[in-house]
Amino acid sequence: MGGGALLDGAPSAELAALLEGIADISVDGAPKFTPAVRQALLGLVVGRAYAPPLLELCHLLRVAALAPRRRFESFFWGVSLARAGAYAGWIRSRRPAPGAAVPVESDGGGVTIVYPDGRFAISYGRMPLLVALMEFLVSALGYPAVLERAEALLAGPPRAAAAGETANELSRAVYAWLTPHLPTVHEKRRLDVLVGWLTARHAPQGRSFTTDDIDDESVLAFWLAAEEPEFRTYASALRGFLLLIEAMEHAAASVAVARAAALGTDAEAGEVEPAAPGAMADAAGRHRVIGADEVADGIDPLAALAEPPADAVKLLNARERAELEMLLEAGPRGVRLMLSLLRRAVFGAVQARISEALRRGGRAAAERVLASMAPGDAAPAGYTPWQARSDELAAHLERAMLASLHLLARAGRIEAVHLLVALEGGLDLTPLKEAGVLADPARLGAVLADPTLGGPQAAALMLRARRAFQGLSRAGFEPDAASRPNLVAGHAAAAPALPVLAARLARARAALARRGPAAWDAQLEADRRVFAARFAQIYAITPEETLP
Amino acid sequence: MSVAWSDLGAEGQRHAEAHFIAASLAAGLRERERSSEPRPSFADLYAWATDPAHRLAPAQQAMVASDPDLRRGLALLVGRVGQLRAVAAAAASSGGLDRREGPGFTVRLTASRADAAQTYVSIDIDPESWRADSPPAALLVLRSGLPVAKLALPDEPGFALQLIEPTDSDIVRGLRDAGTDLVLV
Repeated sequence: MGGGALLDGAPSAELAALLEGIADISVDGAPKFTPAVRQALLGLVVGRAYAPPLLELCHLLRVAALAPRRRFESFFWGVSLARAGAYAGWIRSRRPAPGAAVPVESDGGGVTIVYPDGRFAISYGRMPLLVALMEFLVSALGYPAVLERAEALLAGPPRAAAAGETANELSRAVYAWLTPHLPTVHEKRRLDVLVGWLTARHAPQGRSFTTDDIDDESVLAFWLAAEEPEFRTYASALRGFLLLIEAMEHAAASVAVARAAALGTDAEAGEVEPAAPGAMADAAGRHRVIGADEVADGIDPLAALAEPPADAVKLLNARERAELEMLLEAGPRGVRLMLSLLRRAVFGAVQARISEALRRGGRAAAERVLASMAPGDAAPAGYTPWQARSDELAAHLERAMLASLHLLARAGRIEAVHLLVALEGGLDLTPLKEAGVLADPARLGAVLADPTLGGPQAAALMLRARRAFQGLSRAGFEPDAASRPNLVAGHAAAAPALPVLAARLARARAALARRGPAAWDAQLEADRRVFAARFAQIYAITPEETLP
Repeated sequence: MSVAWSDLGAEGQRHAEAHFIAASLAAGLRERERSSEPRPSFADLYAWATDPAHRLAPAQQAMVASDPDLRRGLALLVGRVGQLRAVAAAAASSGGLDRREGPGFTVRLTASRADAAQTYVSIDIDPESWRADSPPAALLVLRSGLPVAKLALPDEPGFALQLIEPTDSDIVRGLRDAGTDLVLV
């Protein structure tokens, strides 16, 4: 493999292409690895956190070697889509004979390899990621190198310790391979610049900076003063601060708390989604469901909707998805960073056009772009359109939740309760419990639609839900969707994520609503001048000629 | 949750640094445009070697041809998944071979009397030599480790197979070529 060209200390093109190649692997048009697995693999690689999963992978090789003639490749590449259930099926079909050299015990949750010197357990839910890691290994180190180590491991006496030795060898090889492809000096410098600037800013107050100090004003002040080329664009400055907040919160949580519960994203393997609302009884004994506003901020609902089986339902189109990503990127910090997000959406686009014009050698074109920032000019688009657009997105999400509720209730799926409660916050679920449909949801649709059984509030909601379903013309909402198992599974998987998404959008809308249209327009006019002057300074084009 | 930088302490700050670097690199990788044609993944090579219906795209074949690592990987893989192999034969007459033989199997090529544009490909496999659980699925033809052609075998049990293929097809020309290796998978 050739050496990857490094640009500005960034990850190499070869590494980027390698990861893209893994993401592109598909079977009959469906990606082999889900977005969550691809994301997790990316995290393992760039975070250099591959040592523990490499150990699991080496133990998994013992299981994969149950294939005829010990051809472990059949497990890693012979199973079409990388899903927990598929690997469970593969393992069940190749259970070793009693008295095998390395006994492998399997149950509903995973496998345990029983060595003379210890046991090692791997859950089925973990296997898709381990298979993706194997794909990474053969792509980076080459199949011959991986095969050599795997064969040596499998040919040796079965010992748990041997897997550890092979994992260490592989870990060293991956480290060596990654070093030229993944320089960290550049990123460390970016962090140091941000931390240094914030520290200096708050030193006169005699205190350290906090995540709360990173707000719209500080992001803009930093960008206006930044001399480092890596913070030349406003977007890069904002991204740096968002990453810093995330890193500080992550570090604080990691240092403070070791989570007791095993959490995961693989519902098929029985893992628990941390943000999935669950039914519980309140102090009065009434059954209710934990609302979306009560759940942790730790999940990404947009990612959940892109995962199979939820991705079979077109709950969001590409534009809606991109706009939601933009509005929600700052997560819970969105309230104090909403203006920064809008600045990036509006002026980041202008900066990209100036930069592109200059790259093409068109100084006059760049100046024309700058001229378009003059007050009163139609471009750039303002901040106020985002208010209207966020209202439309909220209305769409409500329609989608209603339509999904209709389908899930008809299909007798308990996941409908997530949507029921999100759409009708004060709904008393006691009638549903008394009708027995929380335990046996087959009659859920019939009970909800009948005011004498489910109550008038639920019946009215179900009427709206039916109308929304009939009015939504998208893939996954066809008239016969309730009888198509893949679509029902898709709606069921999306049901916990939709209320979280709606709650987050509501938070972003509240931030947008803190200013009236006139105040947003005034802010835009002020920002035009500030950004135009800074662009003129960065790109050496004259603002006096373009701005009055 | 408000977090003060100083409250993190040295350990927390190291943790934050590691997280920032990883998240920043990941963001950089996500935003990076692909700068070159994708190489065939190992999954592509495995599929070619084991799935009778899988074809490598011409660009992928070219990359295998030009990348020694991929060639070596494919050669090793074919060696592992293949059950029976006939190696390149000695040079034959100018018309090419009409019979290929390896330990445990024979391939015969017979021009159709009714239609010269068609050739019968007869494969006889010694059941004693076949160690896999399932019947043979495909006959791979390689030249110096590079994929030349692949013949999907009928999806039915049997060790005496006969198929008819166009005389000018890659598979018939590959089988007649004394310089190719044949591998039954």
